[in-house]
Amino acid sequence: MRMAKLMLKPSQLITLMLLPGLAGCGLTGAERKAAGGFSTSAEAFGKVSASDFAAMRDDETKLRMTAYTTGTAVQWDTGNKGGIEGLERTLSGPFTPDEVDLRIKAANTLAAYGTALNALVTFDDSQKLKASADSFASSLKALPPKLKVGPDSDADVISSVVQGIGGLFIERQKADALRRIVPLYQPQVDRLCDLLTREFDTDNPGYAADYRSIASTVRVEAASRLATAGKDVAVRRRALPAFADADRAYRWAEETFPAAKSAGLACTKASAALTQAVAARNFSFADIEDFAEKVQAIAAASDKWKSRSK
Amino acid sequence: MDPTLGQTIPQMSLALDALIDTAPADQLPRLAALKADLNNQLEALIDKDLPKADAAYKDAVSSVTAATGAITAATADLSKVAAAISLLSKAIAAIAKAAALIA
Repeated sequence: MRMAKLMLKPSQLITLMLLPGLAGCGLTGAERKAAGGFSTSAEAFGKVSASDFAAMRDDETKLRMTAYTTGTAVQWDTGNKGGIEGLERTLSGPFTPDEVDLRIKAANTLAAYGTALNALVTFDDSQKLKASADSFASSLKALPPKLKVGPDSDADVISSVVQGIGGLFIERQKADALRRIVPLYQPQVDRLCDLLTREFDTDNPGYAADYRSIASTVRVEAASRLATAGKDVAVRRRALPAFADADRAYRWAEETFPAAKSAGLACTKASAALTQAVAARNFSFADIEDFAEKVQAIAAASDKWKSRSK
Repeated sequence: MDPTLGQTIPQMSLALDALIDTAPADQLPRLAALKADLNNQLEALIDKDLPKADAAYKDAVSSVTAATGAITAATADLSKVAAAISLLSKAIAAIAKAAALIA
């Protein structure tokens, strides 16, 4: 039996093969651009924030130790517990290691979301995509209940959605996954962006305000002691390094935290722009570009101060 | 009024289709790949409002026009397919450069 011959010209066949519609509505240019821009910035912002929180924790412990040993700003906090716990509270202030760890987890979760979204948009390896999706799901589930927006079952959606992406209809699969993932996680992402914005806002009670406050107190106290030390070498030896550490911490806070707060605000706007891009397949790139610029600024400032402290 | 990429690219695309229908089979993979590249660049251009006064934009328009001429010539004389492919590659690169004017 003779096979029926498909009456298509080579150009028509090639055109059909290249049509996004045949692959089933792949990512639009707007979606790809929005998701690519947001994911890269979210990943960077989350990583820088986590790194900054860890540096702040170490700095604050050191500053409080200095303050306590020089008998200045920090008093022994016995509270109702005393002993080792009292010492821990003395050295950490209101932000205990567990409290700081919670903020680091939140920042890392945002970074993991950025990584997973980026792996989806720039897909080149199904194992890498699956691993990054699983990592985000694990981070999300490890958040304390007060930071979670949805149930734990939502956390696993990303892993199931990206499962099996690959093969002939990959562009359609990527688009379907993105359109499912972005609206689902937007409230959670907004929550994380809000948290980071608040924590880096020195005008509101939060981690950055506490850090800046202790740095400022030790700085002023050490400067005062230096000013009145006269020829007392023992006082100078204690006060000078204390001033140097506190001054560096204070100036880092002054320069970096406002940029981080701006990046947090921009993160929320960019998240909304991404959701808009996915919902309407059209959007303004301005908010996502603004987020990217602010993340670059905070990353540069953070790197500068960290390299100085080494 | 100077021609725009919006006017010249569709002409080149039509000319390319005509060449694909007449070109020898061994040239089809290369021509199909170039058509895919062209489609990708068009997708990148969708959201952009390029500065038409920029040299890169003007270069893209003239490259596309030159490639269209070469493609049309190659359709009539298949010994010129290689030259057409070369100019088509250059035109696609020029479009990409113009598209990059707005990141």
